[in-house]
Amino acid sequence: MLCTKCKKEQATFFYSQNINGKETSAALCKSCAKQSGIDSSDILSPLFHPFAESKVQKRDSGKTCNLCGLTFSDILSLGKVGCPDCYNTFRQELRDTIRSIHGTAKHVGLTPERSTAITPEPQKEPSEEEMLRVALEAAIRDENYEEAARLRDRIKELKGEN
Amino acid sequence: MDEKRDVILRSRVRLARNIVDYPFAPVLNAACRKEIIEKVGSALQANGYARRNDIDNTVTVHALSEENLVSREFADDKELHALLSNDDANTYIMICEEDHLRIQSFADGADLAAAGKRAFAAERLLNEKIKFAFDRELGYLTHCPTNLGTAMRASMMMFLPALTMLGRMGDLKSQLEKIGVTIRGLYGEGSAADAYMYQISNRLSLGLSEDELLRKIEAIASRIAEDELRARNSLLSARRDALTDKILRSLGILKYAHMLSGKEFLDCYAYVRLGISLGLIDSVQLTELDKLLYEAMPAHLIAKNKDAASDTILRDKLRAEAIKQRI
Ligand SMILES: [Zn+2]
Ligand SMILES: [Zn+2]
Repeated sequence: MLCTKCKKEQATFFYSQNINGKETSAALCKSCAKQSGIDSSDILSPLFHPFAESKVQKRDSGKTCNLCGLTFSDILSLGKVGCPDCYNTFRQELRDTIRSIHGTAKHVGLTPERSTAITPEPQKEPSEEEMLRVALEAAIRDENYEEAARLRDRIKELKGEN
Repeated sequence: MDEKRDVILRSRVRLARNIVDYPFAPVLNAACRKEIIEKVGSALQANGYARRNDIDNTVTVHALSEENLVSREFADDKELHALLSNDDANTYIMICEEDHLRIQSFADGADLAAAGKRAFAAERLLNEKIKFAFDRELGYLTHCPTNLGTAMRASMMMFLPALTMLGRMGDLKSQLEKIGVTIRGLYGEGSAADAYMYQISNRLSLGLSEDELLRKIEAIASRIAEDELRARNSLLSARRDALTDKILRSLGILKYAHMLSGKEFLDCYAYVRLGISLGLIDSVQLTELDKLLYEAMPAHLIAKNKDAASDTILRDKLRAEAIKQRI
């Protein structure tokens, strides 16, 4: 969405404040936010902030969401995503956080097509290989190539066993 | 009489849904909000759902929030939003709250299955007309990542005076925390004025199916209810005279007071409710008493007489009158 102040730039700061007991929310672009004297440290505290606690590697690949225009660092500073498409655009980046909140990142249950209906497959623990792949992704993001190589070897080994 | 009704007052199921190609509601402009409200309204038009025209009347919406039919945030929000409800007034759809849609259904007592059935019936009607944001991996996509997956909250309203008085809530809370279940005070926590009323609900929504979540919460609530009923009996045998005195005095205040503050009402309500359950009071019906939980709340009193908004003495008198009509 566009900045509510200048109505030109994409809004990346969403915040709510309490004025005379009324909650008001605003969406500002980076420069308007700066002009209003708002920096991310002001707007974070009142919001529920699941992303801040996670071990997500705070690096911005420069990608922006096509629908809402947020970057990954915007999401980190907001603690929330801007639109449904963000979950697809930043799938890799968000996966660890989602896993750390829910203990899994795999939906079971109802779908819009109702094909799986409400009866799911019994919930199973992630396989060792899945766990290793998650760790591998993280190691690559962290540029910990030694660890990545070790994990890759272990995954190969596992495949050989099957 | 169903003993569980002594402990579990109401069951609620809430589903969050968002519509594809729109940003989430907190950053949605007025034109998009209007579009969404119209879309949802027309999808449900033929099915007995109506826009509550009094949505702009904040008193009414606050009254609904006192009944937990809509969230407090929704009642306070002055942004463009809408509220639909069905003819039976057991299903409410909040449009453009945090998520585009929040479908909430209720059932009396311990009956999550009935509440779930209603919520999914409304969801099914909407699903036929509207494309919801859904992801194979993450399920229904929600503004807050804590609601991903089924995007469902199943909750039960529980009256737990004995567990609270015996100091058992802290342990219970941390036990539940470990299995992804939250329990919190409905009117704040820690004093008698919270009426010992709690809400338990699932904290996590991803990785378990809707059915599994409903069954999990129902099973946990029913175990807590059994604990509570046992605790009531041990409380009574340990402090019979003191407790009986407090309960009957509370009944006296509800019956004869000329003015009652909200805090005093909740305090007395809780003891009278406990007294009925323990068989110490048989002149008051539990279902009648429970109606006061809403009728004696500020927004409900103000809805009846708007002078009560600024006049607290009048409000406390109206509260006392409302109570006398029920007990
Ligand atoms: Zn701007
Ligand atoms: Zn987005």
